[in-house]
Amino acid sequence: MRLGDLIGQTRAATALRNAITRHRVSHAYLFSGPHGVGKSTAALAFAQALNCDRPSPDDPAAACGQCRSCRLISQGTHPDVRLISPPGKRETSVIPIDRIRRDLVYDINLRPAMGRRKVYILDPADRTAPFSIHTILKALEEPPPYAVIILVTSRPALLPPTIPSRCQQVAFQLAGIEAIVHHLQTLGLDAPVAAAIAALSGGRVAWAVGAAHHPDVLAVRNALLDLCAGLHARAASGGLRLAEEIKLQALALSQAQNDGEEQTETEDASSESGSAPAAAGGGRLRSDLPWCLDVIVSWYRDRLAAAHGAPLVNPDYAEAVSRRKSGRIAADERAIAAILETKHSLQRNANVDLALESLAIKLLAEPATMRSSSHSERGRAR
Amino acid sequence: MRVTCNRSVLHEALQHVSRVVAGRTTLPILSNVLLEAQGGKLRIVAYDMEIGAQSKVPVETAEEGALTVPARVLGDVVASLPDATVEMAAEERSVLGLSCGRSQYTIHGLPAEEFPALPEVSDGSGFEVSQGKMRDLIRSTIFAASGDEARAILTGVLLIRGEEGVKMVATDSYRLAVKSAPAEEVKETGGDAEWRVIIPARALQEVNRMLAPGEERPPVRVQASEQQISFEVGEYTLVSRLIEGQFPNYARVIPEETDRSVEVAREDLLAAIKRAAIVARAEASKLVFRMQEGTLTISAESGDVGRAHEELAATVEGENIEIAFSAEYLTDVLGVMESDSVLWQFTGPLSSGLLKAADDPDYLYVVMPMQL
Ligand SMILES: [Zn+2]
Repeated sequence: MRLGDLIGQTRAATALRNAITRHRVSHAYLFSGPHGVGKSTAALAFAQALNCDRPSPDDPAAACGQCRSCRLISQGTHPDVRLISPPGKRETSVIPIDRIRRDLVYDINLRPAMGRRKVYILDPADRTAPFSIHTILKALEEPPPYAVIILVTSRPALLPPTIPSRCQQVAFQLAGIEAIVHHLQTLGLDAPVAAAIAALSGGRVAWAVGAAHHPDVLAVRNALLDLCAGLHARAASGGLRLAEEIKLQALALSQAQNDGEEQTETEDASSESGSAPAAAGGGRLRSDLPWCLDVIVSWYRDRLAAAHGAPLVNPDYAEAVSRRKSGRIAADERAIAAILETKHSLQRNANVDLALESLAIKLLAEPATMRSSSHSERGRAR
Repeated sequence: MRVTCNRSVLHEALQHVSRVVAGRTTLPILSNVLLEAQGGKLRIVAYDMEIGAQSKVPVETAEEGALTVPARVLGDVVASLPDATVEMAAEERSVLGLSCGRSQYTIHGLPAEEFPALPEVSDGSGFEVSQGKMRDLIRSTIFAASGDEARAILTGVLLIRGEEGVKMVATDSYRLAVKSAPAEEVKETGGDAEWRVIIPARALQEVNRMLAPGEERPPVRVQASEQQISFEVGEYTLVSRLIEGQFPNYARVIPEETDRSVEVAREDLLAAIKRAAIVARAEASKLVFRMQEGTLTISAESGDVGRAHEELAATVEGENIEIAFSAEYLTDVLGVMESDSVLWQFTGPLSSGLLKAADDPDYLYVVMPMQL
């Protein structure tokens, strides 16, 4: 990955490229911005650009991606590039202070083994052991001339102000949906699928690329949309079953991401999938459910959009969306409100099963009101 | 890869190399050793990103190639095999098949391409010394290096190459050890005539382990560049990174003129210090030394434990003196020296003492006194 290839991060990429071409590389950087937009990818790309043995002759900031240095950096075994992250995948685990002492404070004094620059990437920098800030500050104080320290965070507010004040700040933002669609198409995805994934990614490139690499993620999304498309045919009493089915899809999603974790080279592509930060200790399910609910919301939004002739989030489901009669705008809006409310209560640690079941009952109630006006339904009720 | 070799040769090489394997790594590949068959040699490499070790074992190569396997597993299996011919073959890119007599193992590893290449020290400056001399240099200084990683420079040993030979210097700021190898014992092998580098003490510990004194043993070939240093002994190579920064100006610490001195039998002094230190454990090992008219007395006192008093016959010159040192800073150096007697020189009770082996002009040790 070259700096210039970062999706939707023109400003950040330009700042980093200029630092190299103008020989004004700083000793400390703070990469901040939303989760999953490519900060970690950018940190590695920057490390490659700083150490590439064969940069492009007309662009010294463009790493070749092929030389030994570039290859070792992308596989994580370059002796001069240290990625310092919390052990394990739990959201609650932190970078131990011993690791910071050894791999940053001590190691920074060892001269580069093969590269020109030693690059230390603390990712995420807001998840370090308590009391390690002084240790990090010590490293930021007087780094040797060859050292570059990159702090990566999506929650800069959690860092004490003394840290950002010693760093060159590089801000990352959510990427434009078009940029993501374009990128997914270059990865070989069909336009409608690329558009759907891009829309669901919410501007998080890492998530979109992760989903594109794992057909299972797409399968979960399809299963959820199929579920929505078939809701009208279900009995209003099937709430428990529907809740179970949604939960199963969320579990399948966790599974798919676990399997793919090793192959994903982008930032935390899957550990935090959607909008909500996972509740501490809530496990994978709690962090994957919100995304599943987003998919369901997208179904109802598309129905509203179809009614207004607006573009769809899931263009590949256009036919199913418009198959239903219009004129149920209020019901669709109520469904969206119910789903968002459920997402919200899950964030506040509501019981997953209860929250899902009450949502499922509401979703099934909506088509039921339609059915209640039909003769057959009335007849059965008697 | 497919090779056959002698079990004990393989075992020895693995033992040497795998001590370097990162016990503290977060990258799984670094707990592996790289096996690479090329020509009649099997190259075994371990690298923890700070220190790398390589050993070459003579083998019969049926097929060249490489892979990596966990150092612990391979080492333990080979250690427990009977002494016979071992055959090793890559069954896939990352699976090693090993057979010896009627024992057969498959060991899961990782592809060789994922292993970080051991940095090579090319176009560096170098010299050669005998293994015995290198061992002296390391053993005489390494214990004085600091264990505090927060002051990285002091955790290293300064190596100085110059006209007068080679010097190693270590200090933890309470004590200083300087050992030299005179020019006639050092063979030039090219590059700059004068240079200095700071080597992590851990690396020198590993170098020390591969050395054995003896006339017929091959010399140690040292090669240093801006970035790293390598030590080559026969088929064994150790590569280490270098510590960046300015080593303290150690010469300033060495007392130039001393007006008082005591010469005493080394082993007697060491034994007396160790005994007296038992009483002083709770008092930061503080021992009080008094030099007067042919005697050196050592005393220690601890409110809870009791008192110690030792007397040694000594040749005392200059005024009487009473001075306190921590036993910890004396036992290492007296244990490393080999001479029968040591010469201890002072200027006063508050300035550092200079300790020398009586028959070794190439070694000196400076230690800061404690408050009386
Ligand atoms: Zn390159």
